[in-house]
Amino acid sequence: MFNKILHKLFFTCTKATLFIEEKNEKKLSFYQNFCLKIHLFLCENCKKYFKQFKLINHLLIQKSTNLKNNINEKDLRNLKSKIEQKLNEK
Amino acid sequence: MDKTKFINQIVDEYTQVLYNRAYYLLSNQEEAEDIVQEVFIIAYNSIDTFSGKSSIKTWLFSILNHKISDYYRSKYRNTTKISLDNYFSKDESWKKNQLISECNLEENSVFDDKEFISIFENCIESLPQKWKILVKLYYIEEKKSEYLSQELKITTTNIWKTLQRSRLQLKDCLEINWFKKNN
Repeated sequence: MFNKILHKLFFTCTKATLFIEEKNEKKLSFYQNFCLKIHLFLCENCKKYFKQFKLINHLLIQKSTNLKNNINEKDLRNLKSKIEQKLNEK
Repeated sequence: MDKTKFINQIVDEYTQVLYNRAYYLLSNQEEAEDIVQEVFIIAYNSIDTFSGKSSIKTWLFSILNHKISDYYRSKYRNTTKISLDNYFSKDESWKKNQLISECNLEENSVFDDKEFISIFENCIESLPQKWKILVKLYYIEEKKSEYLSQELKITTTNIWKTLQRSRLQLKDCLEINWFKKNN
């Protein structure tokens, strides 16, 4: 019953998790932001999910800005030779 | 400066960083090598149009990102509907079997935990390729869904839905491989 009221007034959990994605990138409208805040206040699962969302978001940012080296010296030399060869054919 | 000499210089200087990004996005050595080669061919052919407004690295990365977008569009042209049935019931609330652990970011920082990072990396790699490329590109492009939408020829809603679905799968992966074992 509580869920039904929550969903009718302040988004379903499906919508809330989607709005969390949008909010991560851009400003939501006043109404969307307000409803999302209330939903997160009242819904324990979405509250916990939001914390995990922030963790995953942080990790993905960290990952994309710190790419590790995935090529050894020998393969790198071979790749450079292949590229130079192809360019020399031009 | 001589065009050939210039290109050889940038091949020497930037192959490694380009390859690392290509490999990160595609998770495949052969495909990454092919794409890096294509990037330099394009760079060679368009060097006269390089204005120098951006750095060489930025320019090369931009060519790489375009090539990755081309690759994505050609391989994943048809978008299939993304299902959230595993996570949400018909009334769109969380399914009763869904585990969502309490995760406190301030305590016991996992960001420096090598084991956790390794688990997380495996979780990313276990995403379906179609979602994986999009998620990685999204973060590499610093979360610009409008730009990505134009590059990949999919709607921003589809991008967010893919991110949502991928994140739910990452959540599950972390639940099973980390939170359950460490809480």
